[in-house]
Amino acid sequence: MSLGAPEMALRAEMSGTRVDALAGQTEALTPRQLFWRRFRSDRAALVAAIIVIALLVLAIAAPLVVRLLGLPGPDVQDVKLTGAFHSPTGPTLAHPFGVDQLGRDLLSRALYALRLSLAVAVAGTAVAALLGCILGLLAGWFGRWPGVVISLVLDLFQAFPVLVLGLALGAACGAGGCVSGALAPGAPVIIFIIAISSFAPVTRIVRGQVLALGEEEFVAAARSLGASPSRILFREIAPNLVAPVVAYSILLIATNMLLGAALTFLGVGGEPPGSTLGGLIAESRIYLPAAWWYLVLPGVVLLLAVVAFNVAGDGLLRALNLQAVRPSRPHRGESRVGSARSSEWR
Amino acid sequence: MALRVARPVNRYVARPMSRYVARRVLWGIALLFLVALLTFVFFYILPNANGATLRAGPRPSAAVLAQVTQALGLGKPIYTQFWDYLKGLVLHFDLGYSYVSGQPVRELIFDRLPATLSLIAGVVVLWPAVGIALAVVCAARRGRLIDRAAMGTAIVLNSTPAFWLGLILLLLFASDIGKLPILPGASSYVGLTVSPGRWFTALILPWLTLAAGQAAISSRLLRDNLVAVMDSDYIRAELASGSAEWRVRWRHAVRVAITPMTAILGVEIGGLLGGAILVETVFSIPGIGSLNYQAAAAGDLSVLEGTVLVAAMFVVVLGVLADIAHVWLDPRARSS
Repeated sequence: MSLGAPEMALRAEMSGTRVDALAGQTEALTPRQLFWRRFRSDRAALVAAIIVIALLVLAIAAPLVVRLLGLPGPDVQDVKLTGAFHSPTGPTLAHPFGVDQLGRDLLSRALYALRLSLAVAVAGTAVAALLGCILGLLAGWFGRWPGVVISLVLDLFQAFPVLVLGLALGAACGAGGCVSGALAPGAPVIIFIIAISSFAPVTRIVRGQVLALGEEEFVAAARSLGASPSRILFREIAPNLVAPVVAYSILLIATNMLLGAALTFLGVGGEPPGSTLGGLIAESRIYLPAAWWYLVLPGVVLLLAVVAFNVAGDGLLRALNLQAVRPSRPHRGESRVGSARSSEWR
Repeated sequence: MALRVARPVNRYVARPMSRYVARRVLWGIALLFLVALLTFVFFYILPNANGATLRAGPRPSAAVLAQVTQALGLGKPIYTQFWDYLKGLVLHFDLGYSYVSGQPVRELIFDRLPATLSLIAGVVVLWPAVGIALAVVCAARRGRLIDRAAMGTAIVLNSTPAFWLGLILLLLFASDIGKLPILPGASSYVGLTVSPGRWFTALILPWLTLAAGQAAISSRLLRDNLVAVMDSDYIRAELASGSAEWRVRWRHAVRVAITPMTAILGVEIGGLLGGAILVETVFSIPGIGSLNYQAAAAGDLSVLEGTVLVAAMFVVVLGVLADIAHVWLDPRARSS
């Protein structure tokens, strides 16, 4: 437990929570209670969080959901359902999202696509977060030279526009995989592109937090009690990084769903085993303008997911009082955490 | 004796800008070198097939393969290859030749530059105009309906995939497939010199598509910054001294609130280049983005290598310029 009661009271005070002007009551709140109290009062974020959870459940249980709705599986073709000259047909009661050119049910395809899009975004973000934490701890803790080298690496990776690089990597690895098969075509290539595009902001935030926390009183207290550097790093500082990294990762998942969709829309990574939402949108293009629902409905699913992750992530940062978290080089970095989202792939 | 008041010492004036500028420029040069190195290594290591097999055409004989390898200098050790690559790049801006058409990559890029610049120029006008106006209105009406509605819309636009938005706009407004056919649709781009009027109307939808997301992000950030700045003591002092609120807002608050945003300009420009690929693909604009897309589809790695390198160099150079602009606007940043 790294936060003492006075520290907590100070934090509560700084965050501007009004707890009936009773100082005593404020002190009695644990950080978790404080967080929950604030998050609960943010209705938009609460709704978004519920949607995020619902989407995750839908994605994980996609096969079950499809069966419960009485829909055919995403790969079941039924040419009888298509229109003239095998054209996609519009929404009906039996097929709420319509049917594609091969007679596959589009709602069922969209659910599986959501599952794949989410899986790719979450996996890529997880790799980026892990890498970012390691590099950020190194840069923040081991002073000057590792810091300079790591910021050079970050600037270097941020110089490459993600989509431009992504297209190139996709083309290089799309045919038969790269790095002797380690980067197989399909989802692994996209996860790799997502990971190298988003570890830099995580690193900046972790480094900034490590530098800031290193000056906090509880670290000084631990040091004066004779705690070893590794104990300070792993028992005092690291636990305080969990909340910001998780909250920021949720925002990153939103960004990375967009990136993944853009990459698959452009055909990066060859033919994945299933379709992602971006892939569905790309497929719909040749049936415009007749089959507008083919474009619109999968897009709305993607939009809903991205908005939900964005709003929930913003709400989490606000509830954790972390909007002010700054990357360690304020003049290079972003004005606040949320801004580290850049718009590369929209 | 008159009361002597100590002159306030401005801690920040002491640091001249020249040192900072020199440091940033050196950093930029180091980055450019590393960008070239990384690009080279990426394209040397990653592809399964080497350049020679890509270049030599379908099922080449061993002799042809050897000849192409020789001609492209692919047989030499990697450090010699990198040195040749760097020399060609610095001296002649030589980006190699397309594996597919055999044309110089430099020419391919320059041919398509006007279309991409047209696209980006419009966005660079629209994006700050809409972003700043929206942020100022929302910050002034903080918490009211217009603020909540505009910021809600901004979150949605910020979360909308550009390619999808572009297709939806085509579906709504394009003259060929739109429900409300008022604007030219895809494939209608003509050069500015050919017909300025058609150039302009053809680019309206692409501009809107690309600027919407950018303006949405910037207006959200700027609004939050503005709200914080308007609460600060010196703004209150200025207001208390009787200055008109709109004047304070525009002359003082916006200037301060916008400064930190110059720092992310470099990254944002990179974002625009990425967005250009999507928008040019959706609207069939013959720019660098669609060159990129076609090269990826055809597996033309040398064109991709060239565009990756040029895009990254563009981002580095603009990033350094943005940094310098930032410390010029905000001298506090020089100290770090």
